[in-house]
Amino acid sequence: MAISRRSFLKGSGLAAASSLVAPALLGNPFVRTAFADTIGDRYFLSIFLDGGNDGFNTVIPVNDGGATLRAAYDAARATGTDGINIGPAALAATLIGTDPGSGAQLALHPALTGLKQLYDLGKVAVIQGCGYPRPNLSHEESRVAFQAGTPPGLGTGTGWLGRYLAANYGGSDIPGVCLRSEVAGEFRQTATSVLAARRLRYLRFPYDGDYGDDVARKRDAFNALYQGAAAQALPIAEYLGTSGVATLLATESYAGLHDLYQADRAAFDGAYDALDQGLAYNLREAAKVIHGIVSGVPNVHARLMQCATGGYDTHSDQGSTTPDGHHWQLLAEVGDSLKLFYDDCADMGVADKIVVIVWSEFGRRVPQNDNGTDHGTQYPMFVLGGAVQGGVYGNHPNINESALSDDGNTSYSQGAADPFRSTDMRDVYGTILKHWLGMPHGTILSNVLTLDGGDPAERWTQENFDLGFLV
Amino acid sequence: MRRQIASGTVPRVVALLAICAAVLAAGATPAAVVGGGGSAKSDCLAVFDAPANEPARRPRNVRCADGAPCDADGLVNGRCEFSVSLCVNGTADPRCASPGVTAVTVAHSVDDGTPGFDPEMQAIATRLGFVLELPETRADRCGAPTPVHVAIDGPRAKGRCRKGVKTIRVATLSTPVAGRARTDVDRLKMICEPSPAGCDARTFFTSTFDRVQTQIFDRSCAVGGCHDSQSTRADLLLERGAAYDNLVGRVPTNADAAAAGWRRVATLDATHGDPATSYIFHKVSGDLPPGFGERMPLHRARLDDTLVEVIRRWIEAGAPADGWVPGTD
Repeated sequence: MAISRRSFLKGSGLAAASSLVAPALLGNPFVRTAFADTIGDRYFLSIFLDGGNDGFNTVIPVNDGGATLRAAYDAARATGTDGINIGPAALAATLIGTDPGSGAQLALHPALTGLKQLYDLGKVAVIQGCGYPRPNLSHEESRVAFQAGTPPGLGTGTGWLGRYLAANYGGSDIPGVCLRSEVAGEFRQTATSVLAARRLRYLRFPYDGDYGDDVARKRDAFNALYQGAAAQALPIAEYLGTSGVATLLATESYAGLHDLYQADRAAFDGAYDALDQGLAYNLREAAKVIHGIVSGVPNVHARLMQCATGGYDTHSDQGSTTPDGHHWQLLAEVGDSLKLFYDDCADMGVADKIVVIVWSEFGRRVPQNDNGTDHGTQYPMFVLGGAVQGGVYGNHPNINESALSDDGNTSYSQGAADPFRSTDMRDVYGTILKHWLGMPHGTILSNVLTLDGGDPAERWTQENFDLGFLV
Repeated sequence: MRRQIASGTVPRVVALLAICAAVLAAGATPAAVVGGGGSAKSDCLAVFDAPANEPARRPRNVRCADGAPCDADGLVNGRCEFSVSLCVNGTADPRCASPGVTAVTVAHSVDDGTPGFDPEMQAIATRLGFVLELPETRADRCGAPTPVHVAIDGPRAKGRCRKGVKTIRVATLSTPVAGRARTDVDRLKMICEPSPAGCDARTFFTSTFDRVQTQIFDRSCAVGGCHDSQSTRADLLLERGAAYDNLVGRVPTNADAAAAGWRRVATLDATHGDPATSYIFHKVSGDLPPGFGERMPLHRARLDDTLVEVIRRWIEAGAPADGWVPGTD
C-alpha cells in the first residue's frame, strides 16, 4: 500500500513498534550516528516552572545585611491566616550564602530541603535577580522571551538552545528531547530534529496496524524521499526525508528505554513512584534517556532535554507557610525531585556530566494580594550539577517599597555600581553555552544571543559569560 | 495533605439531614461527595468533595449566608468561603465504575487573557493536577481542598445586597473502553446570601478605596484580558496593591485625555480632587468626549450608579488611600 494521509493518521497510537529498523537503513550515510559535536559526553536539562514562580518566597532574606531587605520583605508580606511571610525561625534549616549586593543572609524556602542538601554539597548555584529589560507580565510573552533568549518583540521565533542546536547538528540528528507533548520554545529551530514525548513508553511512530507491510513501506518511502530529494537538491523534500527517518529511528529506539530503565534501575524507578509528583515523573523520563545513552542503546543521542511542571501562577491561596500549602508543596516537589534525580545521575556515573537549569517565565509581585501574589519581574534561577560551582550569584532585587514600580514590581537594572543590579537571562545562558556546551564566546554573540542597544544602565549592552557558576 | 475519600465515610442523605442541626451548632460543615451531574454511569469520573447542602433531598449545590456556620471564614464580611476539592475515579456511587481518566478540564482555570479567568478555578485544577499521573486509574484521587470565595453583590442602590453565585464547571474524559472514551460534565454551584445582620459597606470593606478596589476593580477591571497583570490593557494595572499608585496623579495613555491635561485620578491636594478632569470617572460614567475612548467596563453593563458615585466622592475628597469618605459607606 502507499502511504496515504488517512492511513498515516489512522495508525497513530495503535501499532506497537517491535523491531528496530532495517540494518540497511542504519548504514545510510545521512543517518549520522556519530556524535562529533561540542557537548561531548555531557548532558543539559532545562526545567520550566510554568506559571511564574514566587522568587521572593523561594530565596528569602533572613536579615537586612547592609540594606533593608528583610524589613522590606516583612512590610510587603503579611503574617497570619492569609499571610505568606516566612519568618527567620522557619528558615533556620535552609540557610544558604549571603546576598552579594547587600550582605544579607539568605535562605531557601523551608520546603526546599532536597535542594538545600545539594546546595550543601556545593552543587547548586542560586542566581538571583534574573530577567530582561522592560519585563512583560504576560505568561505567554514572558515565557517566549525566556525561551528565545530575546526580550519580547525582538525574537525571530527560534529558541536559545535551538540556535545552539542549529549551529551544531543536522537534519537526521536528534540531539534533543522534550519530555512533554510538544517541542519546547527553547529548542525551536528548523535545522535539526527534536523529539517530544511526555512518556517514552507511549512513543509510537504512526504505523498502520491493519496492514502488515506498512512498517517496511514507510521506511522505504522516507528513504526514497530523501535519496531522490538529495539527488535533485530539493531541500524541503530532503528535510521531510531526513526528519522522517530520524523520527522513525527515534520511535523505535526511545520507546524501549522505558522497559530498559525499569529492568536495570528498579530501586530508583520505585523511588520516583514513591515521590508521586509530576516533576519526579518527568525527571524519571530524562533519567531513562540518560540510562539509554550510558547503556549504548543504538540511535539514542539526545543529550539536551527539557521538561516542565505547572501550578506556579499563585494568584490565589498561595499557601507558603505550612506544609499543606500550595506553594510549599510546589517547592517541595522541586527540591525532592531534583535531589532524587541528582542521586540517580550520580548512581549512573553522570552527576558531573549533567547541568540542570530551573527557570520560570517571571517572578511574583513583591506585595501580596489577599492571600496570593500577582505577576512579577526578576526572580532567582537555579543551576545545578556535579560540575557546577555552588553558591549565590547575582544580587537580590531591591524590594524597598520606594524602589518598586507603580505595579509593585522590582526594576531591571544593569547599573555597574548598583548593589541591586539584575542578572540578565542572556548572561546566564551565555555562561552555560560557553562553559558547558563548548560554544566560543564570539559565536555565542554572533549566532545565539544579541546585545541590546540603548542605555547601559537599563539595557543589556555588555555581556558577561563568565558569571562563575560554571568554569 | 492528600485526602482520600473512602466510600464508607460519605454521609448518606438521610444521615446528613439527621446530623444537620448538630453540625450547625458545632460550627462545622460536613463535606459530601457530589457527582456534579450527567449520566449516573459516568458521573464518578470526576466528583466534588464539597459542603453541598441544597436541594435537601439530593444536595448538588452549596448555599450559605455570609457569616453563617457554613461560611468557612465565619465572618460577616461580604463573602462566603467554601472548601472544595476535585477528585477523579470516585467510588462513592456504586452505579459508576470509572475506567480511569485521561483529561480533566476545569473551566476558567487558565490565565489566558480571557475575562472569565478565575485564580480559584486555577487553584482547584492545579491541586488536582498535583496528584494525577495521566492516564490516572487509581481510585479516589483528590486534590487538596481549595478555599473558594463567593462575594455578595453589594451594597448597591439603597444599601441593598444581592446574593453572589460562583459555579465550578469540570469536563472529564475517561480512558477508552473498547475504543470509546466516556465523558463526565460536572458543575457545582455555590451561593452566598447576604447576612440577615445587614449589608453594610463598613462591615465589608476597610476604607473607601478598599471598597473601590474590592467591589469595582477586583470584580470588573482587574480581570483576564483587561487590567490584570496578564494583559495590563492601556498600560494600566488595577490589581490590589498596584491600582492606587497607577491611578492617582497619573497621565492617561489616551492621547486626547492626556492633551487635555487630565489625569487618571486628578487630585488638587490631600483632601480635594477634580472628578471633571479625572479620566477614570468619565470612563465609568460613560460621559466621554469623542476620541477619549470607550466606556468601561468595556462591552459590559455600566457600573451601578451607587458605585459611580462612590468613585466620584472618593476623587472629590482627594482620593485618600485610607479612611472613609462621607457618603461612600
